[in-house]
Order: sequence, then structure tokens, then C-alpha cells
Amino acid sequence: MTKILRSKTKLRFRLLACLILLQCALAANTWSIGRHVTKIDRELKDVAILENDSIPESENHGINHKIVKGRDLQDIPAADLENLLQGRLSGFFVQNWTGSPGVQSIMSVTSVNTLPLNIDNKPLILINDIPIYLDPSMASRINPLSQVSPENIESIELLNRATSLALYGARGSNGVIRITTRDGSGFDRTRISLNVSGGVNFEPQLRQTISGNQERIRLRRLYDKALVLPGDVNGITLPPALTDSLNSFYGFKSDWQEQDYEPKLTQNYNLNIGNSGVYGHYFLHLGYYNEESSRVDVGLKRYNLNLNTRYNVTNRLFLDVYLHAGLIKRGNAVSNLFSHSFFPQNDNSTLFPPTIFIDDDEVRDENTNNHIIYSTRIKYNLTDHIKLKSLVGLDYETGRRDFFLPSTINNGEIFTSSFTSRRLRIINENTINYFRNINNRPLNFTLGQSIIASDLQFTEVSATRDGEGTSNFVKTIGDNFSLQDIDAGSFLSKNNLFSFFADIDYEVINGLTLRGVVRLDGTSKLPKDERWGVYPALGMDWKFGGIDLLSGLTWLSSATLSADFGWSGTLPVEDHLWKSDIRTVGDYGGITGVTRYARRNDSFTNPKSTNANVGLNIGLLQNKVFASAEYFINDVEDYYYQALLPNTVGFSPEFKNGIGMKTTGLNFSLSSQFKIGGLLWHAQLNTSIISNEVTALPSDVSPQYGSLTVGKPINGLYAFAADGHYANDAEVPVNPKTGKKLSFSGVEFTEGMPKILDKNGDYILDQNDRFFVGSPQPDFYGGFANHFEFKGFYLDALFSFFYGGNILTESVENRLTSNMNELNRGMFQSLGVESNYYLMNTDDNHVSIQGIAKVEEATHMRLNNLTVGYRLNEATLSKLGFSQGRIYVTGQNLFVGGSSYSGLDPEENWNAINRFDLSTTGIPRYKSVSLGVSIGL
Amino acid sequence: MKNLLVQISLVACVIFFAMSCDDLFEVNDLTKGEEESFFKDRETAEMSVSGAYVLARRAVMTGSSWALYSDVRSGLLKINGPELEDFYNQRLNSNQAMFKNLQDWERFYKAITQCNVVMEQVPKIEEFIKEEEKSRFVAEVKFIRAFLYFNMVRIWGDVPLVTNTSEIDPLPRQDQTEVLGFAIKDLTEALEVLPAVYTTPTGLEDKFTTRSRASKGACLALMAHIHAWAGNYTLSLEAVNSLVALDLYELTPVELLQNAFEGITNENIFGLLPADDFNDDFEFSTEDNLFDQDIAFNGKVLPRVEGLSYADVNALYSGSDGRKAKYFEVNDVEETVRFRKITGNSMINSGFFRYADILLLGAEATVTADPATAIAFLNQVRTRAGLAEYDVTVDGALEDAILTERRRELYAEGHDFFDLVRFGRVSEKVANISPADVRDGIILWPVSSESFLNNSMIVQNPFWN
Repeated sequence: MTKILRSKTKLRFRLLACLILLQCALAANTWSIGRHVTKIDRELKDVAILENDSIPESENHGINHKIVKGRDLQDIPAADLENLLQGRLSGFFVQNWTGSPGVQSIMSVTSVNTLPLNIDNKPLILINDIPIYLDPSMASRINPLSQVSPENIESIELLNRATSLALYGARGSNGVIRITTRDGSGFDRTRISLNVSGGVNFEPQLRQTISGNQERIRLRRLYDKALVLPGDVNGITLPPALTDSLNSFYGFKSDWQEQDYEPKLTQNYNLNIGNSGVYGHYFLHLGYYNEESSRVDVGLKRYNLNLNTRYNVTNRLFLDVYLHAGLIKRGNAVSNLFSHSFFPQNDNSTLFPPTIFIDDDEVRDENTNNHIIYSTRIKYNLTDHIKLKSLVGLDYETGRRDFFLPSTINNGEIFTSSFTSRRLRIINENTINYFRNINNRPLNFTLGQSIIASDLQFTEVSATRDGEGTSNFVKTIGDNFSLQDIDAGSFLSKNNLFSFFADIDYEVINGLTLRGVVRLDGTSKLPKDERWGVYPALGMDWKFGGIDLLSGLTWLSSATLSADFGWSGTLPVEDHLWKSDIRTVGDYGGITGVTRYARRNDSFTNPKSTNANVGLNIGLLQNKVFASAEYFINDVEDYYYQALLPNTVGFSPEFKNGIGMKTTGLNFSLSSQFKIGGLLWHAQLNTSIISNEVTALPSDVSPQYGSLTVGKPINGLYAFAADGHYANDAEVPVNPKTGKKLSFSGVEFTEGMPKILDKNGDYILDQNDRFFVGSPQPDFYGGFANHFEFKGFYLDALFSFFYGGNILTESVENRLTSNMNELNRGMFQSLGVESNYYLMNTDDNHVSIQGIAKVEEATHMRLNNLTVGYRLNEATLSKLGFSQGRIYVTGQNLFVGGSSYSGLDPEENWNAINRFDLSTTGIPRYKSVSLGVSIGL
Repeated sequence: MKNLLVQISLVACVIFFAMSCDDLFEVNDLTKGEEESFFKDRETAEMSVSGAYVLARRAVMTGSSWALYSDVRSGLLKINGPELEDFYNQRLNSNQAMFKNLQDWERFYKAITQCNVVMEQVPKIEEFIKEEEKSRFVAEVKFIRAFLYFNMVRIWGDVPLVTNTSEIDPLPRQDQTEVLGFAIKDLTEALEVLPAVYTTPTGLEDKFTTRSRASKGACLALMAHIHAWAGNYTLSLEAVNSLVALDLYELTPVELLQNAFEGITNENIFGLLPADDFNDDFEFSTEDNLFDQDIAFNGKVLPRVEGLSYADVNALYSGSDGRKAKYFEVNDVEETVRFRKITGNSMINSGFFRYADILLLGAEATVTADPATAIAFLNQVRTRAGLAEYDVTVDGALEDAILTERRRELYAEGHDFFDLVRFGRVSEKVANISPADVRDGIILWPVSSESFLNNSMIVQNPFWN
């Protein structure tokens, strides 16, 4: 078997090597042509004319709200690029749930927060046309978008029209974001600029703590009522030494959280060098970024180098090389790994200190990523009308995590782990473009082919053992270490995507442009018969601002109506979900046994989505105000799920297609440009009103997708309703047929347990008895960006807002949990707090009945960014030898308002449940203020 | 222009090369062992059969369930721990983890599915395997499947009959006579093919393998049991006689009886090898083996299961009975006994079928039709134990004597409760079960709630409804 595998791997490598060689040959060939062409026209202007390097795929004609320019981002210190786009990029949803830099936020384009299906809901992100791996590295959990230095960005463009989605075919359904990095094309001479900033990250607002006598009184009450062993309050293990926060362990501080948070620094250095000339142009960016979070041990360091060059070989032949090399180190707070493990109170105060409190030196948790993005692109203008383009690129990332927990904090056991991951994606894309004016109207036709080969692997080894001897802190692993304590795993997965595509647009009559797109995608991720998918789309843009009918409307400067219809797909992130699997199960008489783990599903297919959109862009008052409204439908059918099989089947449930989901939305934006006296004001307001719902749900959907109901939003919040508690056993309803009491998962209700409503009256509480209590999706969200300029001073302010959307906040004092074996022995007792809603869960040994303190609204508004700057007088600067310079002060996350949420930040829960132990809550986001200087030669 | 053509043709080359390469889509996923390419030689066939044995072991031995279903339920073994009360009161629908495991038949179906996979895939292997090996492997899993269905019928009565792996739709519970008939058919086919003894590559008899894998003797023993359970004693006797006629098995002298519990005597017919902790995965580790463990309970360290009390032991085993000292450590001074017949590291934890069991089954089959033969069968076992031959005046009715003999001979081997069912003596011998309970169906276990998920055709056993 290994032999066959090896030969296939070899074949693949040969294939890729062959492709790269071919391209090299092509490059060498073009290079030699360049050298031998006798009449090389080295006039820059000709080059510029012939090159026509605008982005032909851009769907955004004229001014558009779906583009963010890099110059708006470059002074903002940020670890994760997506967070800069919150509120700034119309139609792009970002929920920044944690103050830990390098941790990915929730993001989506076509729908909002569709957990638990979220994994395949992220948009496709391209950096200079290379589709990057977007999921965090398995080893380091570092967000790939934190590799991108904001200083190096030319533009970020959101593509969500049906024609654009179809152009990305099997991967397009979740929307596409194209990031273009800066180049030196506009530079008239060598320009060097340095942008340096430094700032403070302030201690965030923290949960209120109780100490001293109050703390002891509350502890006592919990111990008494919960009938648990000391040190184990409702299942939360607390070392006895830590149950009173006023002890020496915390340095006698009245608020133990002060140990965990303190003001820290952020540093940001950027050096850019660029030039352009007859030869082409280049742009070099060097960056160093260091953000130390105000949470001890949490932080991110980024080192990166970007080189973007163009060589004009002849006036028809161009060679582009792009290289990004980066290194990221992420610090992690270990206490965060094991949830916060402290005990917040209903009144938003915190009773107990964290169980794990550690010194930096004792724990090692090093997370590192190395990242290379590389591409060469050859463009050849065959004639004035025909252009050839060939791209070879790669996205390569290695991640590493070294982890060590000393025995002092890990229940007397040492834990050590080493985890490495590697991801490699190679893309080869060749296109031929035909452009011509027919009857003075442009016709643009592109035909292309691409191969994308992806390869992902990781290896992990971890081990646990008891701390040795009397020392409670042993860093080494002894000789008598046994194999049993070691856990090791390795993973390797590959997939290939092979595509053809065609894109044609033509202005059929004056003002009316039609666009047709079709993509043919074949992927190894799907079984043979389902491998190829066709994704066509049709679109139109009608510039009707000039027609006679509207000539009387002087205030209307331009108007474009656009409409698209087409199809796209949502390829599963995981490779080969459809394949069969045989696994070893043990050993019989010395012979290893194997068993069928999963069956092959030959009809597994790519979920297909039908996309439609209608949009209107208008320019008013001599194009000083632009308004745009866009309505879209993204109707996904055959989304995949794991089927629930009868337990007589004897192997794992297989992945099938069949869930339907529909998202409809209205993206609206308004931007204006005014000049009043010396004051310049640019403003942009965008908002998205999005709703989604489940449209089809097969009957055999596994309970893991319990939060799906037809007609309700994806990932709705569901809970059991209750009315008081049973005063005695006799109150518990009894099924007259069977004589059995009301039960959950086999556990009969008894005195003291909540009176949970049996919705369907079958005396058995299960997920069918839950009520829809809310949706984490906002009714609308958006942002408001402002830019003012006055005599060299400028001010930027970005607000984001989020209206509606629910959060379930769990009650701390109304939480009942028990060991299965101890049931009906008085373990379930209320602490005297009533809840209207409950979550109930069970596993093999425990049942928990968790009261919901309240269903809250996540509505809020945030001042994401406020920058005040001053451009230095150019005349003064030039005397000093500089061409430009500015100083600025920028503040992030300075203000959150309009929120009634009881926790710290309405965005902090990634699954919209504010857990009693904060296990799904990010560490608090903090305010930061930086002072920066930028000078240019 | 010429250069241009070169370039275009190069690009075209790339396109066509890629297009023609179907291997682009045949990407091997090294995290998955693909079934379609897995079965290709003798080695892989053997591994899949081994998988069937492992899963069968998990089905009947995880958490020592074979003992819980029989001897613990009937009261011959006592369990220490929170489950004691529910067992004593026959609350089989308890929510304790141990009961939930016992109620669920999924682990049986995992093993049955593996048998079905072997039956479907192994015959398709064309190379690197001999035809007779293929048929032997198939016969082995037929035996395993029959063994599993027989156990399931004894536990739940009617059970869904899964005979292939292509059908994954919900199945209703099948009448148990049909299930047992299916098992007998499998066994009849397997009997033709299976060897009576396994041999080593050098041609010597491999006793270890013979006793731990399906063989002719194992088939016949299982057939004798199935027929007896179905009440067809004529066919049961036929199977017993065929097994005796194989002339491979004999009763071990009582002094060496301990060896029979370890599976290494000529008395052993079939048992499953214990799991090797280091190679088995963690999900079903044998740490739940009740015979292996001392637990802290109520502040005292007690074995997880205990045998009979001093008085009960003396009541069951007379002074001359050589088995008493082999099964128990008896301290006549302190009047204590310690159960020691089965230990956690027994080579074959429970002698699922041993010769004494089959001889007593022969006695049971002939007790009414041919008492003389029955007495002959019974006396073989009695004599070996050091007891006097059966005497109606001392030992009572023949049927009672046979049952008593089974209870003391096969003590703690996973037979007792089912023996009581066959003899119709459950309400008489087991505490807290009344004749009315038996009529209402208390003998069968409740079906786990998991079995009803996505299968609307499953109905609960009436007693537990």
C-alpha cells in the first residue's frame, strides 16, 4: 500500500514540478525575447499605455463602498487585519470576540454567525490573487490574517455579486475578499518612508470582585446549599488554598485580577522603499509589530518583509515577482486555555480568583508561524487586443507550538506537548484576455485555466506524568517514563482543484453592460461522479443617469442599476469527507485488528448556492454624495451534515447533503465628500440588514446540529422554559400510561428541581421541548467612517454598530449538576434563584441543569478608531531633506456605548452564550492609544 | 510571432497535460484507510477477521458484561459499588453508567458489521490468498456473527437482524426464532469449512489458536446451546454428540482445573483472548474488568465483585467437592471465603464453552427422553469433581441435580441466569423476581434509549415499557 501511495505522491510532485518548470521555461523564454528585441521602446509613457494594469475582475465600477484603501488603515496598530475592516467594509461582518491578538475573529460575508456550521462560512481571501489558507494554523492557532501588515495594503475589495461568486466557482459562495498589496508604480523617484508608532494598551474594565467577609459569606452559602465537598463547588474544582482570595498567594491584593492585567506597550515600525522607472517598479516593505496585550503573557510579534516588483522586459512583456516572508510569535495565557475557571456572580461581580494562576517563567507556551507567499506573474501583450497572463504562486506556512505546564498548576502532573503544522498551496493560473472596442463599446473576454494544489500536515506529541518526588515542580521527564503517558498523532491531507473559466462583458447598448461568467471546477475533494461542477452567472450594469427622462433632475449626477443571477459552491474545508475509512481497533492473538470506521458516500456533492442580487448606485450633487443599495439572496441547498444512523448500523455516521439555508440581505451605504471653507469632510455610512433561515432539514440530521429548525435562523438560541421549582416529589408530573415521572435523559425530576415545561406532553424532556429564545444575529450592523481635514490637521473616526442579536447569560447561582450515579440522592437543589429558561446537558456521567439569568441584547456602538494627526508643512520639511511628514495620535476601542449587556463587551462570546465559567468568552478587549510619526524622503 | 506560437503551445501543453492527468483527482488521504483499496491480500483479510474478534470481545467482555448479564443478575456474584442496589432490585432500566452500557446493543452491531464487511470483502480478494483461507476466514466470522446474535437474543429477545452492510435504513426487531434460525444456518455452513484443530506452519497442532478462534468444536458447542435455548433438545443432543465424537476434548483432572479457567487445557472449546491494554485503544480499555480491580468503597478497599458467602459456598459444594478449593480460598477458621476462580489476567477470561458445560448440556437434553444417558453425562462431571455418582435419594430429581451441577460447575462463567431461564427456575432462584414478573417479561433487558434514535420501528420490551 505504501508503495502505491509513494508512487502517487511522486506523480503529483512530478506534475507540479513540471508545471513550475514549464513556467520557468516560459519566463526564460520571454526574458530572452526581451534581450534580443532590437527596438526596445523604453519610453515610460508607452509602457503605461500598453500595460493597462487595472484589475479586470473588479466588479466595482466607479466609486464603490466595497473597497477599502490601504491609506485608511496604515496608521492603525492592529494585529488582525479583519478587525480593521469591522464597520469599514460594507457587507463584511466581523465579531471581534477576544482581546488576544492573533486570534481570529468571526467573519462572514453572505450570512452572519452560522455556528456550528461556521467553519465553512468564511469568505475566500486572496492576497495578490493567491488564495490563502484562512483557518488558523492547527499548531499555533495563529490567524493567517495577522500576517498582513496594514501598512503594506493598497486596497481590500469585497466581491459579493453573483457574477463574481461564479467566477470563483466551487469556492465562491461565501463571498470573496481580494487584498492587493502596495507597489511602486506611481513613484516618480526613489521614495523612502518610515512610519513608527508606540503606544499603551490600558488595563481593561474588569469584573467586579468580592473579597473578605462578603466572599466568605457567599462561599459558605454555596457550600451549604450545593451539598458539595469543599473545593468542589458545583463541579468547579478549587484548590483549598485559593478559595479565599485574601491570602498571601495573591500578594494580599484586594482584587486578584490586578495580578493578571496591567498596562502594556505596542510598538509598530514600518519602512517602505519604492521606485519606478522605465525598467518597471519595485516596492519593499519591512515591518515589525509588537503588541503586548494588557493580559499578562498574551501578545503578538510580527516581523515581515514584502517585496513587490515589476520588470518591464519589453513594452509588451512584463514580469512581476511578489514575495512575502513573515514570522509571527504569539503569546498565550495558559489560564485562558482552561477557561477562566472563576466564578462570576449574577450581579456581574466575581467571587473567586482563578484556579490557575501562574508566573510567566514557569509555563512555556510558544506559538510561532513562518509564512511565505510568493508569486511570479508573466504578462504578455500579444497584440493590442490580446493579453496573456501566467501566474505561479504559493502560500506556505509552518506553525509550531511548544507547550509545557509544570506540576504546580496541573493537579500535580507535568504536561508537555510539541505540535507542528505545515500548509502548502501552489497555484498555477493562465489566462488569455481579449479586449476590443466594437462600435465604440468595449468588449472584454477572458478565458483561463488554473490548478490549485493544497497540502496540509501536522504532527503532535504530548505527554503527561506525575511530578516526581517531593519537588512539586519538575521540568524534566524521568527515565521510567512509560509509553502509556504519551499521545502522538500525525495528519496529512491533500487536495487539488482544477478549473477552467470564462468571463465576458460587453456594452451592448450605450450604458448597458452585460457580463457572463462560467467556471468549471473539478476537485479531488469530491467523489468521481460529483467531481466537476459548473457555475454560470449572468449580470448587467445599466448606467441610466444620462438618459433623457432624467435630464431634468439636476441633482442626479449618475445612476447605475445592476443585477446578477448565478450559482456558486461551498467546498468543504475538510478533504475527503466522503471517503471510506478503515481503522485499527486492537489486537487479537498478536494480529492487529481493523474495522470499518466509515462508509464511502459516492453521492457526496458540493453544496450549491443560488445567488441573485439587485443593486442601485447613484451619485448626487455633482457626485458629492453617493448612495448605494444592494439586495441579495444566497440560497444554499445540499449543505452537508453528519447523518444520524440507527445504532444497528455499526459504523460512523456518514456525511450527506441536504440542509438548506437561505440568506437575504440589504447592504446600504452612503458616502459624501464636502468642502466647507478650508474644511474637508469625507463620510461613509454603511449598514447591512441580514436575515437567514434554515430552509430544509433532513430527518436524519444528527443531534449535534440541534440548533437548526426549519424557518428559524441558523444557529438560533434554544432553551427549556420553566416556572419555579418543585416543592416536593408529588408535584412532579407522572405519565399516566407508564407511571413514570417527568424525566430528562432518563433522570427523573425530584423535589428542588425546576419545573421545566414539557412542550410536547410526552413526559420526556428532550430537544423537542426547547423554545426558540433568540438569535445571535444582529438585526443590522454596520459602520460610520469620518475623515476631516483642516489646514494640515486631520481627524479620522470610525464607529461600528451592532443592533439586536441575543446573548444567553447563564446564571451562576442557579446551576445544578450531578454525577449520574448520585442522582435522586438530593444532589439537585436550587440555590433559591429562579430562572425562566434553562439549558440541560448530559454526558455519560453528569447531568447539568443550567439556569439562564437573562436573554440579553447585544446591541452596542463602538468607537473602533479615532486618529488625530498633523501633516507637517512641506516647505519646512524639504529644507530638512524630507518630502513629507506627519505626526498622529491614534486610539483604538476607546468607547463602547448603547449596550445593556451585563458582561464586559457585547462581542465577547463567540457562541452567544455567556457561560457561567466564561469558557466561551474571550479575554476582555482593551483600549489603546498610540503616538506615531511618519516621515518620507 | 514564432516565439509567440512557442509560448502559446507551451501554455496549451500545460493545460492539456493537466487535463489528461486523471491522477490529479486521485489524491490519497493518509489519514484514512480506504476500504476499496484495503482488501488485497491474506494479511489484510486476516487483520479484518482479527478486527471482528476484537469487536466481539468488546461486545461481550467490556466491563465484564458477560458476568453482569448472568451471574451478577442471578445473585451468584455480588457487585460492590453504587450499582449493587439496582441489581439486587432488578432495576435494569437504571440510569447508572453501567446499566446504560448493558442496555445498549450498539457494541454488538459494531462487531456484526465487521463480520459482514469480512463476508463481503474477503471473497473479492483475488491475489495473494488461497481459496481455502478465504473460505475459512468467512466461516470464522459466520461463527462470530452467530455467537453475537445468540447472545443478543438471550439478552433482548427479538433483535434487528443485520445481514449485510449496504443497507443502513432503520430495521425493526426480528422474531428471535428467525434470528436463531439465521445463526444456525450460518453455523451449519461454517461447520463444513472450519478446521477441528488449527495447525502451526510446521504442521503441529496449535492448541492455543484452536481454543481462541472459531473451530468445528466451537460451532458445535454454540449449536448445542442455541438449540437448547430454542427448546429443541433433539438437535441440541445431536450437536453435543457430534462434538463428543470429534474426540478432541476431555475433562481436566480437578487438581489442574485452574488451567481450564486460563484456557489452556483440552477441556476448553472456545473463549476470547483478553485485550492487551497497550495495543487496544483507550475507548474500550479493559480497565473496567470487574475481576481485575480493587476499589475503594465506603472507605474500605473491596474487590469490585464478590462471590458467595462462606455459608452459601458450603451449601453448594459438599466437603468432597474438589472444585470448592479451586474456585474459592476458604478459611474455615475465620469462616470467610474469597472468590478466586476468575481473575483479571486469566488467559481466557471466561471459558465461554468448555467440555463440562457441553456434557451437562447433553444431560439436560436427555433428561426426559433418555434419563440413563442423562445420568451418564452428569456423572462424568460429578466424578471429575470428586463427587459420588448421581443418586436420586441424595441428589433429588434428575433435572434439579443437573441444574445444581451446572450452577456449581459453571459458577461465574456467564451461564447461570440463562440456565435458570432454560430450566424455568428464575423466579424460584433469583431474589426480587416473582412469577408474575417473569410472565410480564422481566427476563429480557430494556432496550437503550439510543436505539430509538432515528429508528421509529424499535419497540421497547413490554416489561420496561
